[in-house]
Amino acid sequence: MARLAPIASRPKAREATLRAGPVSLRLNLRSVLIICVLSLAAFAGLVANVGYGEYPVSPVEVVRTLVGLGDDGGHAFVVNSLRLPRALVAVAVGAALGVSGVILQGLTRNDLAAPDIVGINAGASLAAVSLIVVAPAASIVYLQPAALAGAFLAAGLLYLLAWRRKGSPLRLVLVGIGLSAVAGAGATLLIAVGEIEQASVALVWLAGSVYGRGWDDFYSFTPWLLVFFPLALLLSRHLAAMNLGDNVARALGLPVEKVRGLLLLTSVGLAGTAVATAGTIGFVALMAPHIARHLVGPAYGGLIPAAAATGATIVVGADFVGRALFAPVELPAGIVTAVLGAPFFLYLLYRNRNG
Amino acid sequence: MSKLSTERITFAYEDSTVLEDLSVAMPEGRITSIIGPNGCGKSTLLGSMARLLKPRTGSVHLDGEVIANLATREVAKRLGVLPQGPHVPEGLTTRELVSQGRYPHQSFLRQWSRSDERAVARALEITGVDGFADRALDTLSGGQRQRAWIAMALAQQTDTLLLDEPTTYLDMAHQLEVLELLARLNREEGQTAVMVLHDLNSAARYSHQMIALCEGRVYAAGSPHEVMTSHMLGDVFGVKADIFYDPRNGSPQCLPYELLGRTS
Repeated sequence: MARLAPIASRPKAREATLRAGPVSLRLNLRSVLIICVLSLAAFAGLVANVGYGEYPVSPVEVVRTLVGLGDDGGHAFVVNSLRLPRALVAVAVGAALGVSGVILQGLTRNDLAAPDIVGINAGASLAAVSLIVVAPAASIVYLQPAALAGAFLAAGLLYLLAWRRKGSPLRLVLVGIGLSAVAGAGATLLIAVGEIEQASVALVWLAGSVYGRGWDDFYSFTPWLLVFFPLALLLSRHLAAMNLGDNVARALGLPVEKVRGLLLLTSVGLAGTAVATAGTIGFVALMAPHIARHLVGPAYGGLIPAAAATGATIVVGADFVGRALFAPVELPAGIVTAVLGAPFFLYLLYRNRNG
Repeated sequence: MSKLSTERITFAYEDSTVLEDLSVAMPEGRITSIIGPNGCGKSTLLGSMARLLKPRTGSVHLDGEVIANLATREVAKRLGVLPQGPHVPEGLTTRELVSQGRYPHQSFLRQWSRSDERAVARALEITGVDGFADRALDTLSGGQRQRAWIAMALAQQTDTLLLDEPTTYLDMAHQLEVLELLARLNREEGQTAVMVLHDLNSAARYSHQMIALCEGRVYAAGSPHEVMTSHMLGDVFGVKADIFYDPRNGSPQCLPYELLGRTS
């Protein structure tokens, strides 16, 4: 299987065990440290994004304004109303994509399975584009459920066509790419026949960008995250057992079918809502799990938060690069992640072929 | 007394019947080996007893209860199962794998109790894998990796272990390593073990009971002396063979020399 160079031997994990009565938790201190560093990186990206622009605000001022410590330069409006929601959406979308990818890769035991590679994101965007073009009067509130429905439809098709027959990892990817192409063609067709106004909205949205995202986008996104993130953490213990294969998992007492359904729901749900919020920001769900696994190892307790923080860092960083590179012209974050992610995907394919 | 038994189980894939009206019993504190030619239903029998497969008719009993009526987690506390050629996640260390054996004893709030810690330390030690506990499984030899999987099943702390071809793909020394470990666990801890084995001589040497399957039925079940006969080898495997007795422990050993029913 293709992965970043696995770490053959890790020093005995330094662990802290917390026990109180019947409750016991185990923390791998190295993973905790790495997750903290990754979260700081995401926060730094957020601060940089909020500070950068036509009206620059120094990082110190950004942090002061964020925590509500005075407002010397009167930039509270720029920070809190204009730039913060966009940066927060970038962080949340990245985290959702990272977690979605890490679950899907674990669930399919396939390193190439990311919701954008296997067509789940394309299904979500087709549904969302349909809504934008066909029913332009519909409220933005319906975008989330529509994208979710599209994501689940694509996942269902994928399951029927590729997964159920336990094909090779490449089969899943190839069928997924086919599904993506069909959904993409559908979206293009809708844009071509749609009214120019709606079509241009849909086009910008398709490229995958957090451009112009405001508090209402953030608030319509967060409830889904509040459902799916805790669910992912609750399921991480089961995902670890499932990773040993269906039979071993069953022998360990895991209700495999039920847990697989819940995991799939979580992964597709996170990908679908992320797409509904920011369009198709590609390759994040593929890259973040690999990077996280390389850093904290394959134990899912640490892997899920690490993948969330990695994904957040990637998207918020990509948004910053996209804004800064050719300023004042903005590149969508989705273009930046594709430039990074496509070679990475090719590298994984190459390793998979030779592994 | 038998820990685990089947009562007239039948198993079929679509049209072809794999097990037919099969009743066997695994005595407590003993090692049982299931032998038979390819496709005779050995692994299906083991899978049915492990509740990984559901027989079409008949029932499997564990400690006197029908296994299908027990909660999955309850079964996992009583039966450890090692399927054939399990999937090894890349980068997973021996210790992490063995810790997974505690899964049925854990919950979201009870993730790492003192008894978990003790059971894992003990399993690592008994199987002799503690020396490479923090190495990734995919860097270990086949024998070391198999012992790590057995350690995982031991950390589960079940009275009974079911193993599907635990020695396949291992060289001679590594086969011996795994079988000696099982014999020692049985001797010192009274561990009940049931395994599917291809190597008849190892089965005869290491088990108290042998079950020879042929076309989904029990051809013979009993002590190695009762089961390992030139008749059985002819009828079940289609070979002519001489039987010798191991001068060390008296176990019957076979040496096949010709295929039956073929003139060339």
